[in-house]
Amino acid sequence: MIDPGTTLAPDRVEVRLEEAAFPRDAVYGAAYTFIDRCYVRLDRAGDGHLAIVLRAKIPGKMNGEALAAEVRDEVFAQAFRLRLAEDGRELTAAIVAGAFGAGGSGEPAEPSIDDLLAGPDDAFSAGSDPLGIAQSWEEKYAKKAAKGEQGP
Amino acid sequence: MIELRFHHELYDGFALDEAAKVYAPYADLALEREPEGYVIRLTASAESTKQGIDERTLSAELANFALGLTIERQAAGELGAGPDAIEGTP
Repeated sequence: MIDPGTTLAPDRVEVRLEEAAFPRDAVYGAAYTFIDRCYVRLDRAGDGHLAIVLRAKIPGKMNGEALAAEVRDEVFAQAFRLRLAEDGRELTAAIVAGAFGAGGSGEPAEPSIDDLLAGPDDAFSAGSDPLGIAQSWEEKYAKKAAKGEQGP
Repeated sequence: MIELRFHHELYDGFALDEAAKVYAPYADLALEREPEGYVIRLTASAESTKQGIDERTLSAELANFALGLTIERQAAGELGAGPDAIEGTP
């Protein structure tokens, strides 16, 4: 049975869609998938309706009824895909934020004003050497030896 | 001559402009923006006709190209149809 929103003619198929029922991106996405096989046009078809019009590239080699069903399936699939992407957007953002910080952009979080005013942490700032790694052997052990000599 | 009408809410002016440039070597093209949409009037050049390219195929290919580019621009977030894009096109 042919859908009432479908018009079939030799080498031509017109599928009318209610504009409010499908996002424009879904209609575009569906139309795009047929561009390699057919000549595709989009048009308005009365109040609140869009039409996807397909014309055969090679006359006589088009199964209009099957193609119309394929168009409808594709529009539904595209709309569903968009809805899934929209529903999953918050979850994706939360995962990214958890992995890379609040910004979610992969950049480290900006320091606060208080952090900047406090200045660099002395223990770990550039130039500090809390473990004495940068000291020479003499500096490190000669002093101890001198202290040892002075001791008991 | 074939007259093609494209609804301005569904087709991008820049995409139509680009399509006209691509198919300009094969046809004489006139572009206009009317209140209800863009209009392209296409007449296949004598050279194209001699090569067996008919006006109907040419116009259908142009429309396909324009739709494809409209969708690609829309997906890339570049959609911005404007009458200025149409004016000044051969």
